[in-house]
Amino acid sequence: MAATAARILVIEDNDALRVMLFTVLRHQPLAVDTASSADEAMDKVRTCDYALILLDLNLPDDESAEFLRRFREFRPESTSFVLAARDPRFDLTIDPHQVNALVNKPLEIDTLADVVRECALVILPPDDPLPCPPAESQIGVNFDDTSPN
Amino acid sequence: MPKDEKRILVVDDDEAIRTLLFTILRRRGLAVDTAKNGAEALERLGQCRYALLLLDLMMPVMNGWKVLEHIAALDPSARPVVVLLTAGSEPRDFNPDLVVGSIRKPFDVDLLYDTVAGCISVITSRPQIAECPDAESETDLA
Repeated sequence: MAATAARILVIEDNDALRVMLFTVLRHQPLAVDTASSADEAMDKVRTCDYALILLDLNLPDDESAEFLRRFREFRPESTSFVLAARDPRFDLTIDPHQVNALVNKPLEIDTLADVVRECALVILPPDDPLPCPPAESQIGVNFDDTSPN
Repeated sequence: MPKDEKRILVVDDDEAIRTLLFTILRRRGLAVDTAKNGAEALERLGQCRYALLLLDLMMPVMNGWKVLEHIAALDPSARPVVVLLTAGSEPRDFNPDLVVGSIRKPFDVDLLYDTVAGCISVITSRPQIAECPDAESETDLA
């Protein structure tokens, strides 16, 4: 994958869902990183500008709101498109200044892949980009151990 | 001795789709069983432990919603990961604790396989039930 591929960050604490999204999205023309917590996600956004952040809105201990607050404080001019995945059973107050769009869980995987790709590809990189290490999808992180045992 | 495995159950009343999914997954070395309706799926779930269910919703005899009700009653540690195969027109009020995602038919085979591979890769192999027969994918179906 080219080094200039649009970069996205998937923040999801459900291991199966996070790795499934990584596996699906890395086969799009995208560079993909993942995080399972707000702290891990903040470590990632401190070193890299993401065209799109796919955020689980139902991280434990209100970590999703905490991440959004910290991310917007750290990078107030960020052009990142924040796509938030929510559990529709829970009524959450969403700040439209922090989240660009919402998708409901369970995720429609094919639709999500299309939406993430199309949104990520139209986001222009910032004028002052952060130095960015290679994405997990570019350095051979491989969760495709599909052996039966 | 029961073997550890990550077995997959494909539940769809459409024989062509069942065969397609079975073939794709078996060719990649995965242990796969099939069921053509919800009743057969529950029978399978009573016999064997499954890591992942690919579940159609609109089926005769017993639909996918009934299968989800059964899975909801299981201990969370015993529940398989469920990916729905949908026609896109069904209600979408599924419990995200039960359903990890959905894929619309006609599905993109590569995307479907990526979905399965991603899910399977993080599931820990569990000892199979002693009475569980070998997976269909491990037996000569010819």
